Amino acid sequence: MSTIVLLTLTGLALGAMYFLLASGLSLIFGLMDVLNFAHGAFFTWGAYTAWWMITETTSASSASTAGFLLALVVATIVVALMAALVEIGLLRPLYRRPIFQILVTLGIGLALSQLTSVIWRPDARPFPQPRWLTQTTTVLGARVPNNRFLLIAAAIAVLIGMLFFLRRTRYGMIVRAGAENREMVQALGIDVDRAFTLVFALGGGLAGLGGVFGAAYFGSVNPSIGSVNLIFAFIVVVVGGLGSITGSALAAVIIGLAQQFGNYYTTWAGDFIVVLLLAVVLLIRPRGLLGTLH
Amino acid sequence: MTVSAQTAVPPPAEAVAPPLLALTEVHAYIGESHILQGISFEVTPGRVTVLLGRNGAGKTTTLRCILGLLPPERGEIVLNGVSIAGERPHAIVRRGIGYVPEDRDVFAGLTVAENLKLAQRSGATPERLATVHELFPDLLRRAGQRAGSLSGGQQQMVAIARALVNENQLLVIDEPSKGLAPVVVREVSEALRAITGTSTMLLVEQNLAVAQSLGDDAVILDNGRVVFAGPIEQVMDDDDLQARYLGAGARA
Repeated sequence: MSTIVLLTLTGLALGAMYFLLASGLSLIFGLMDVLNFAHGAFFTWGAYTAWWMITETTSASSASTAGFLLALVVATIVVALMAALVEIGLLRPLYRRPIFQILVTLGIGLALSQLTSVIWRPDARPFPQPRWLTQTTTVLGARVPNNRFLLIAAAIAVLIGMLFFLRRTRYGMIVRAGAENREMVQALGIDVDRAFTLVFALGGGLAGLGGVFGAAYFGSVNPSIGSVNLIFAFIVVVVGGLGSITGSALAAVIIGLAQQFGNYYTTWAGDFIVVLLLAVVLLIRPRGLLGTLH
Repeated sequence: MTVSAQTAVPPPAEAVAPPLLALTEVHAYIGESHILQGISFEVTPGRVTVLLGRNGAGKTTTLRCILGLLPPERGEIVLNGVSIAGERPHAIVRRGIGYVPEDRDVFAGLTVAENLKLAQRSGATPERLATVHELFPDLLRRAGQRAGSLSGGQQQMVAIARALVNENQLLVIDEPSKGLAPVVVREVSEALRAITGTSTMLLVEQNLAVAQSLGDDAVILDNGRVVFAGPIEQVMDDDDLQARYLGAGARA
């Protein structure tokens, strides 16, 4: 019983991490039709920015709560700004050339990931976090690390925040309308370019936030931490349905759990089950669990 | 800047006001196709100018050029004394243009109220919105309904209402009767007639009856060129002109 509880909570936390990546991917794809392969590098940069801030300010193997929270905020902002620069400088000139755009995000992703190993060496580094995050709470006999709960709470907060943003704010309305018909949004006097930059920065910021939580989840950072998770985040977006945030959340939970249970009971089935799930959903319901036809 | 035009064609006695919109030698391409081959015409303030012509004559392309959705290759487009060719669409629209596109293009996933709210630019007043709701009471009743679930006629009302929620200098309306049942066409054109007194309009309309009931002036395009510009009665009285440029069945 305690094993099942542990696997469930850890699986949910894994799903929460995928969701933080997937929500930004889905948002960006929904409005801009951009498959952002640089998203994994944004995740990596979030992880490294937080790691760098914490290790620069403390030499201990654990961080202070204030230091961790500050690193969380700074990493999110740094990566959001990084994403804004990428959008303005590199993507904007290519909106009429989608293939080039994909290649550019792929290139940026590789370059930015490579940059982290040049600056901070390619090997994995332990990620100091507040002691209470690595301590465990006992739930039905299972000792669950506290950072799992924090990750789940963060994902739920992001989900609620995103739904509020999309349904209740003017920019959210622009995103939903722009996903349907970008040109008509412009023809109503709305600066779509500015909305694109904002959405790309928002998605990037979420990836950065996910990176910090990912580093806490794994207990370490390495240059490929983002690219490994990006694959699963893409699967989450496709399974959940392109452009549906709630769909992404649902798919993230399913995939996190499937992977966690698969990895525990076999040595090979974790990733295989995920790919199998993807194949089944694509065959039976190509638009994804909650996706609308795009 | 209209000096040359004035010396070339002496203006009629009553039309002394400078044009609200003037296109001069506008050329536009879609891919390799030379769609507009030097279009020039004017829209007089307070009047309804109807763009006529066969399918493919360049009517919609002309509207898209004015809005900046398809930047013209060369030529001059002047709105109220300001050159707008080359500006980005949102900047052009903010100068005071309300646009109703050819296929209505309401945002299907947004509610009626959201469609209108999205269209409101800074400076749009609640009074203005109330006036629009007076004109289309149905939209107030259906405010919470998704625009995609409305009938074609209702969607057309949303599209027109979207252009009316702001204080605009010019309304640009592309085939409001397209694809609608005759009863609905009558309803839509009555709504449009209600606003003709207070607005300047550039209207594309294939249905000659609708065009005649709304229009003051007519501009006929053929193969990307202007072949007629003058009062709409002149088109209505000239069967030969109609047969040559508007095709059989234009009156249907």
